[in-house]
Amino acid sequence: MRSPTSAGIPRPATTAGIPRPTISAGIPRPADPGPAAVDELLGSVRRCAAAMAADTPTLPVRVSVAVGDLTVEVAVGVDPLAAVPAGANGRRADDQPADGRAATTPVARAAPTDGGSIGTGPEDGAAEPAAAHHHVTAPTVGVFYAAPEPGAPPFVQPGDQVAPGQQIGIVEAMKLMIPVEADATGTVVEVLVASGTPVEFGERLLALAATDQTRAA
Amino acid sequence: MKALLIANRGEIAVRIARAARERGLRTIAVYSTEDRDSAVTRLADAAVHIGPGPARRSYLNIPAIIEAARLTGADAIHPGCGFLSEDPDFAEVCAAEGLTFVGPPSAVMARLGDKASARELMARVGLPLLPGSPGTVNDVADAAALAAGIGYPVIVKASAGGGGRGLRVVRDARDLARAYRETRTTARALFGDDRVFIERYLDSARHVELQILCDGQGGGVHLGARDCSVQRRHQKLVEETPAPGLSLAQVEQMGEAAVRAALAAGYVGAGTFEFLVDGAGGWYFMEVNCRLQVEHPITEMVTGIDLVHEQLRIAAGEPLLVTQEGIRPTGVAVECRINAEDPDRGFVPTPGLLETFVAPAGPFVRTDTHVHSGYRIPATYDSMLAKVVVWAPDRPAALARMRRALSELVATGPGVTTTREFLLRVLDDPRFQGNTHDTALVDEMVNDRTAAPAPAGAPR
Repeated sequence: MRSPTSAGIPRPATTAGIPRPTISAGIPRPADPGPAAVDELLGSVRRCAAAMAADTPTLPVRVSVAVGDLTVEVAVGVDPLAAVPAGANGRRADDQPADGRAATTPVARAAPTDGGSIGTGPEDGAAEPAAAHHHVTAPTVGVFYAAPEPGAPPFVQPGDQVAPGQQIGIVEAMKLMIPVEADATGTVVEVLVASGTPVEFGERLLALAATDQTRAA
Repeated sequence: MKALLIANRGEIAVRIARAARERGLRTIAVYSTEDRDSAVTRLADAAVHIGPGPARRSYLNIPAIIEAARLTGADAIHPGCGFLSEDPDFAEVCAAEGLTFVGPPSAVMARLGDKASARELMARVGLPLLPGSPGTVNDVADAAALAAGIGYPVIVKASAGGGGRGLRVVRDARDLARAYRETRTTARALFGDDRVFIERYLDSARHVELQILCDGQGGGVHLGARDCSVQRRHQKLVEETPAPGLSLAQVEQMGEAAVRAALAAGYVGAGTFEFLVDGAGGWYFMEVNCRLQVEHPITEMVTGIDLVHEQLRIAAGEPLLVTQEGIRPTGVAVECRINAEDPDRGFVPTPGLLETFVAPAGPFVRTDTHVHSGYRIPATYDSMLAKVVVWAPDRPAALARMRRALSELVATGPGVTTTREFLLRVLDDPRFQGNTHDTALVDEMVNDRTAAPAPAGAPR
């Protein structure tokens, strides 16, 4: 219900240049603090986050600050917001790079760049050593599931042999479960997306060491 | 009524906001996080964020919507179609909170929304029904005995079902027990209510529906028939009015019966009575939709009556101004639904970035939509992007105008396919053009295509 002012993501209140009131139901609207107060607050948060980053092995991927009633959220691990690749959403593409390390914030700029496991965008292939791998990609935008139901074993695991037409996962879109099928023969090297993660059209889901380069039609 | 909150999203929210603004009402939109940039939030006087993407936590979240109404001083709520529009609990909560619900009273909605109890009511007021179980069927032995008495094929339907979900056709007595159990299981999962009933299934039928308006003060009219036989998975793709192949006298008869049934049920507002019409012209009551229908614009185009205006007038307690004699439908209107779906893959949804969207325009063309170039089609909601509606003096001219309109429409993006090409094929199909089609048309077209792919781009 709360819409925090995320670092790097502007408030949506005045899209298309038409201002209108934005109210979150159930939460009294706080008086707008002045810009100086916001700057001061953001500055403190940056310093705290930077200090925290220095002490912990995992880097924060997103820091959100809500000014009314003061809420600070620090996301660690893979940021679901960052699963949206560049170009998929005009506003995010402008303000936040696809790799999830929000480079517009000083916190992230100070971060070392060895966090290769954070970004899984489709264009993020540079960090992958095996260029020869074949990738099974998402047939549509939706939510990826690696198993037929919660608690069940996944469709495939690293080391499994797959053949064209074999189901390797599900993408759920608009309440429909759309099967994802392998389009080549090979051995599963890695399942690239965690079950339950939103995926983009064409996003890489599975890396295969293809034993046969001919793909199914 | 001074301020209207629209408890919906997408094109229908935009359509309702337009009518509300025309009536001088202050207009309040609600939106989920996924819809924060949606068109209605810009059209409305105020917009309230009611929760995250999943509908259960936003557009179906009754406390958040009521709170939004309170915060903004709304005194009425229009539920649109889908989501909470046919939820008697929501209508009841609105009434209890002193908010005018734009739709029928909760008790009426509950009685008509339950298919089995609606069947009983309609039988009492003399509407023709397909042979079927008198009420719900509570065990598999009763189901088998009933089905044998009705004669196969039969259809097992969830009493709480709707939107083409929770139903199964059975052609052979040996399959009945399994279909009965599966439908109950599905109904429990989908609707939290596993009561089912059984009726005769018509292999060849047309889906025809009558639009009605009742003012709750004894006044009721019908606004003619819509034919919605072009469906995929029991969901409509193309609708037209008047229903081709029905005589004026027959439409009059069906309309009169629908209004009589609605008044008997205590109906208030705009509603739709759905019927099946068989090859011999026999017609049978199917269900009542206690809300505005997606396809309502075609009725507006031929009657000149704005149905949302009428809904708002009735909700404000005003009597109907139109009389049955005063409703004189003119010409033919057709609607095509542009969905983000891939007809070549069983109509699977194709959400994603809509890079380019160009709506058709020109004389007698109306496009109801909430999308634009650069719009991100969420994977959370339904696949409809736009409704293209045309009017012309007669059916051939209307189909030609629709073909022209669809040829102007552009909707493209990575991974996004739409029903546009399939709709063009429907318009060119000899069965549709010759008005010999039935509700199986879309399946037949898909099968024809699989069996013998037509040469691409071959002129017809």
